[in-house]
Amino acid sequence: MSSIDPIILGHNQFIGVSHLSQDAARTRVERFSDIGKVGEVIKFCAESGVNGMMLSTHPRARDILDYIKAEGLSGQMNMYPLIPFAQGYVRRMNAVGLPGMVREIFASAPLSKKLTISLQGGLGFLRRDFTRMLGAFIDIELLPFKDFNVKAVFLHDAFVDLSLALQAEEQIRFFVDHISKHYEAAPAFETMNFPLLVESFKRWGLGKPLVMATFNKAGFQMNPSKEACEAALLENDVDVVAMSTLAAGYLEPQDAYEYVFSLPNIDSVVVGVSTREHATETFEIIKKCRSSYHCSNLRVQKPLAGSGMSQNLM
Amino acid sequence: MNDEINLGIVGLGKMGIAHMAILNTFEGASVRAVAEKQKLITKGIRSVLPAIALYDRYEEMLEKEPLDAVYITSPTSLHVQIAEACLARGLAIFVEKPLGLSGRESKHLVGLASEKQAVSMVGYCKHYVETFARARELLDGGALGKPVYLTSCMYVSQLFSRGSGWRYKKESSGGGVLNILATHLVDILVWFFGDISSVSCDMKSHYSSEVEDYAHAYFNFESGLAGSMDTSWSIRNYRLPEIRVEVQCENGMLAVTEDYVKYQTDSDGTHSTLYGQDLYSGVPIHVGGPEYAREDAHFLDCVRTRRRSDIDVAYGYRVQRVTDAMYESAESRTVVELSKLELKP
Repeated sequence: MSSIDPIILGHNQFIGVSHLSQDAARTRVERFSDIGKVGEVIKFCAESGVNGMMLSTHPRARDILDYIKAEGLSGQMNMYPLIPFAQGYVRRMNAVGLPGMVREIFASAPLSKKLTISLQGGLGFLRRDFTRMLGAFIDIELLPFKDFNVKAVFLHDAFVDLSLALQAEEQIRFFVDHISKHYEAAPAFETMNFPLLVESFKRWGLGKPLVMATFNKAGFQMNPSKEACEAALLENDVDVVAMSTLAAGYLEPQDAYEYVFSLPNIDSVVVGVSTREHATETFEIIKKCRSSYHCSNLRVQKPLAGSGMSQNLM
Repeated sequence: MNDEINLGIVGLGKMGIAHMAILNTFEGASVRAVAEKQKLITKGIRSVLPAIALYDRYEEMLEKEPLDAVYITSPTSLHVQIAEACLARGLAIFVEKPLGLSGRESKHLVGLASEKQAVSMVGYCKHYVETFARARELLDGGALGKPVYLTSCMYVSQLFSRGSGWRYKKESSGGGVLNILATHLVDILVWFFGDISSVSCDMKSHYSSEVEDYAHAYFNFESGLAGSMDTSWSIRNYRLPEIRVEVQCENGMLAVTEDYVKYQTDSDGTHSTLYGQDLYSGVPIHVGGPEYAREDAHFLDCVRTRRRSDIDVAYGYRVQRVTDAMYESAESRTVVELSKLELKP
């Protein structure tokens, strides 16, 4: 049985995301426009024993994955894709409309995938079968990760939270089944509505979920409240990767991680670091706070081969 | 009305879907019916919520379903005719922004809503973003003194090639970045500072053939405040739509974005910054942003208690008059006074 990495390098800083300020986000875009700068951070993290990396399917992801491969780091790194790249799709939907965006997504698939879609009756057929379209969509999103060790595939909060609000059990179950059946990776979920996710999974009999959710001392983006999220964590059997632990740079790391690791069921955090100094300080604090509490290793739901993804990625 | 509010939705684009999801979680309200023509979307909805009645035509939905309120989240060109049909039946309406293609088109909705005593709301969701709400409180508090001069902008990196879809056709959108996106900024200016008396505006198209991609305006407010706004959906490095308003007041200044509100008072020389993190309060359901759940909760509360919303169609019309004046000014290349706007053909 393999486990989720205790520290996972986040991607927001590389793709110009900051929830503290958009000015900071733009500075990051400038800084990391040079892929070498991204590489420096990844290399340093790997040297420090931080081998897990979360990566959305942002257009920049392919450059980052190519870099990791070219530098010979892919064998030692564990990737955690976050799909789909929601903001990009919202922008394309605004620019070309929903049907245009669906056409674009499938047009971007490589020839082998197009052939599979064609054998399945073509795009027209997929459009008539909503669930099969989701499957083809997931496969296209995961193609860039086919040569990497993928430990878990996270469904983006935009889709998870929409599904939770609509109580779309069939679609969530489809994601779980599709990832479990076709990929040697654990299905996982990012959410801004942690208690609702836990409660829904329990009601649907979906077992112990692997969840990436917001946990920070400030209660920032914890819904419906910080207290309700803490209670859901305490009262349920759930594996959690904590995100926004610094409330987007608002909290001091020492204070932030003392709080996070005082909570039950959290043994992994996703963190964004931009410089060697920042990374050293952050990792040290995390390791210290983590060891101060008796946290067992976070287990995913199935054994992980860690030897790349299955043939379905072809 | 029964205790349960029966809701219909017309148009399931991204905002229609977001509202439907949020409303699906609220107790005391139920989405009974949806009118949407796109088969891809209705197939998805049918597989998720089989109990919802689906219609091709909104007219049929209104005829057959016993609704209390309707969300109008269609392309802008259909807002007014759908709103009219709902109000004629005495139904409460939530209309996504902007209210219509123009103030000339939407004006009669104000009288109709009043005549039918129908609850109405326009989707100016920035009222429910904590930083903007706090900025408004600070300005109203009076410590900064009377607003004197403002600068403001709204940008997003969205369009760098020819766009397709209803947003880029003047007939269906009523305009480009101003009517589709920066109406949020115009709303904030009217909400913060009151009515605008005159407008001078210039616009530029580059990627779009029918609508503007860039707009710049100078406003005079009835209060004596003056200042500018600049907007575009074709500015690089704005991953998300971003608004910034900075106002110089007689006794200090204030700058606000979705991320923070900063202010400074001359009397004690203090600079203060409140971040979104300082002001955050959780929402019952987070879909697309906390502001949408707050907005929907407010609308349902108004429907339930038959209370007037501050962001009703009359308010939406006030905002729309400003955008009308901006288009008029850009076209005529003159300063447009809003008091004379209706007199023009």
